Amino acid sequence: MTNLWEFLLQTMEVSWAALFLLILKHLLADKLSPRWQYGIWGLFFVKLLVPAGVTGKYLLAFPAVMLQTVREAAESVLSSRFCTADAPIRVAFGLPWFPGNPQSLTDWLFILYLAGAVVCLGRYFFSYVCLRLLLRSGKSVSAEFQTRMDALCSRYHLKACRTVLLPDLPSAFICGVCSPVLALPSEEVDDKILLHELLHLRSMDALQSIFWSIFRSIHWCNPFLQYVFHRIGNDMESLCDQRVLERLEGEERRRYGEILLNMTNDRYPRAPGTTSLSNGGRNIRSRIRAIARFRKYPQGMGLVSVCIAVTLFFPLLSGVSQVALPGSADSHKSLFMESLTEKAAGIFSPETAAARLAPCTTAAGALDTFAKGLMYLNPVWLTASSPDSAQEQVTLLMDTVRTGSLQFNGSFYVYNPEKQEDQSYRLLLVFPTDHLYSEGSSLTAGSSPEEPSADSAPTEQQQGYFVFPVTAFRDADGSWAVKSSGSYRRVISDNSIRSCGYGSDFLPVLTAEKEGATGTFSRTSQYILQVQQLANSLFDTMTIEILNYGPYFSPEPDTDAAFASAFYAQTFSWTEKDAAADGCSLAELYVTFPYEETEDLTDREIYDDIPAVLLEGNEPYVSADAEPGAANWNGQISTGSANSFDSSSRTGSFPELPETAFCRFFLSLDGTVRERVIFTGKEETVYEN
Amino acid sequence: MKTDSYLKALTRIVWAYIFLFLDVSLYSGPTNIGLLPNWAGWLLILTVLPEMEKKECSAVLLRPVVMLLGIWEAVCWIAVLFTGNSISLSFPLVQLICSVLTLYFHFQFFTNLASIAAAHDLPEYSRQMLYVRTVSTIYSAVIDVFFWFYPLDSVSGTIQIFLVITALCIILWMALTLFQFRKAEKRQF
Repeated sequence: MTNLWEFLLQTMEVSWAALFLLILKHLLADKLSPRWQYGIWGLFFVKLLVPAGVTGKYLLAFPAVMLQTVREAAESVLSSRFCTADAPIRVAFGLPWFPGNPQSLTDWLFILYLAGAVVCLGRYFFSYVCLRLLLRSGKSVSAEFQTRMDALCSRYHLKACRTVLLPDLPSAFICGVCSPVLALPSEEVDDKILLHELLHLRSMDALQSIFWSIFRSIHWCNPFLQYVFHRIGNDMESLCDQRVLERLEGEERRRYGEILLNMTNDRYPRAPGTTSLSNGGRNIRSRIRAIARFRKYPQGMGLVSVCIAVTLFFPLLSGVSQVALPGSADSHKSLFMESLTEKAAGIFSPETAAARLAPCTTAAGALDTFAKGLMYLNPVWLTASSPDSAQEQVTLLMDTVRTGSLQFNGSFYVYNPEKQEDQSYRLLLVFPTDHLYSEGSSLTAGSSPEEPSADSAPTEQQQGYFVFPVTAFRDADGSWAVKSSGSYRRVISDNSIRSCGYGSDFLPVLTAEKEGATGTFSRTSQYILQVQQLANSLFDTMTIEILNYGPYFSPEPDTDAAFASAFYAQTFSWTEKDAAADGCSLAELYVTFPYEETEDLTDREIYDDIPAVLLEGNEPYVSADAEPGAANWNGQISTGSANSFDSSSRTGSFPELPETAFCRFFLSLDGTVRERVIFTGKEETVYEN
Repeated sequence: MKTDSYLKALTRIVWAYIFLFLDVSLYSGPTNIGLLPNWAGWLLILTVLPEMEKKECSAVLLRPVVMLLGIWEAVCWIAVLFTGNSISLSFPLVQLICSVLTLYFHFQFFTNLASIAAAHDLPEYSRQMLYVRTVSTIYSAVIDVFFWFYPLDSVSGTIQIFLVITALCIILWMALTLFQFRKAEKRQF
């Protein structure tokens, strides 16, 4: 935790976990033994260490959103060094850390908190040191007492430790972990008291109390957690009582309860690394009630105790509620609030805060949210899908759409994702539209479209596409984000725009070329991905698809979306060089798609007989031919293929390239293979169109 | 001494578990009517607890658990009836508490039944109750952890079928054990 907001989120999450456990313990108070009642705090201990929201989930999402809203409102007017206004609250570590010199009010508040934690820790350390110094002045026990102690340890198979007597000591206690000391009052001490303390020693309760004290100091300003730590201490004592009672029989158990009863008014030492038989009047009364219930706990509950802990482990530690991206109705409320912020500073919307906390867990989800943010001019959705460090792009994109008067028809496609060296993906978002009024103009983001001049022919409304180049990448916290990587383009299409899910001649293609001896081999491709859409019902989806003659696009984004379909359209061509086909009557181009990727074909023979080559391994292929001597010969042979491929991805990233990305070109002239070229799909590509 | 009311209680227990473990729903547009609501099962359990408490004193601990679970299931059922949506998704922490209480209840309840069977000189049924109790508790905990990592819609069809079959086997085993126990008690009576 390096700033005030991270601490507040962490202490809030931990408090919810503690409240949950307290409720559960209350419901199971008389059903599961003190062993479970204390043991379940082990989950709480781990929760204290786990950073809040590290999995993208919280125990309660709404308070996290409210805290983010307050942070944005507060930090927008402060220039804090420890945090920025519009970044989401991300706790990296469950323990506090000194981040540097403070600058703003919230920075100073965090420093104040750190100082308080240090003071608390110092206080605990000081009281421990004082106790140890006091113990130094204690008297050693007599030989008779030592014999009695040894007999007790032998009887109950316990290890002894150094024992000292201190006058005026209110109750016995153990102090220390590495070299523990049992401190006893000068008066006669019952064996059961010794047994209690030795059982504390055996269970290393002093060490546990040190850990609890550390966390108590870290959350010193949370009164609820102070109460919880107090309860934990009491549960520890109740468990020790349980252990004592398990070793006593009959009348001895009743005597043990009487001993505790006599201690209700006694003071007791409190310091980390110490355990005491007495822990206060009220607490002793509850312990006596537990002692009375000793035999009444149902037997054989060990298995269900463990199963309950297992069931609670992951939900409690990683959270159960994910911050939901506000839907269109809530977002429009936010749009209203956003307009108010221009007039009344300090009013911030929980919807925008929620957008910052709602991670896009998949690449498809980020693209879906980004695309719909553009289409529906929704700043909340654009915020959710934009990287933390590029919030200004939200405003820029909104201006781009407004000033360009872009009208979308509600659908979008992902074109040509290319993996970059930094593991990001460069791609195009293609938005079909029925409302294009100008042709082929390229605009920079934020500028106004060109007005048609007075003497130009009025433009007609046409079909086409808006093409936005973007980059999708994983943010530092593992969530996906999208950022604009260039100006958008308008592309007229005289084909049906509804089929662009299967490729379009009017949209950019990726081209790779290889020079051969006979000519230039080139492969142009379009990868098209569609995102799985949220649907109200199968009936609604089918109805809309039938009426629109196209796939269904939900108006609501899905931050966890997957890719629904993937399509790969390719064109293969060979362009003659140096009149290589002159004098030939037949030029043929074959493109095969072997199942195995390999560039080394030295172990495979080249056959002059083309069909034999193609039939080897039953490779699929496409082909085309031309007559070089014909009047319409233009020195080029082209063919193409198109197929869908597996769009699934286990990692939430983009799907792997299809097998047909790897292909072999065979150029044959008059039945003889003259050249063979391999494309692996990893060649450098350029955009054309 | 066994009474007629005790035998009727055993019959009600069997019916209660049918309500608790089987779900049959009618869908009509947004309306979803559960025909074997869980709250009815908890209500039946609540009615048999007084009889069980006479045989096994620790059964009294189950009363508040059953009442809480019954109320929660009733609220969920009403929500589904009128809105078509379950509210358990909106209150995941409450649902988590109820899952834990349900886990505890089935374990404790079968432990009590096993204890009663042992007291009535039916050791083989007592053993069987303990086995089915142990297996169902472990299965529930394992399933909870499994679905935490792999939500139902991400699990392959084969695994889903396997899980459903395993759950059905355990439920049938439970029902069979209860039926046989009731029959044996009736025979003794």
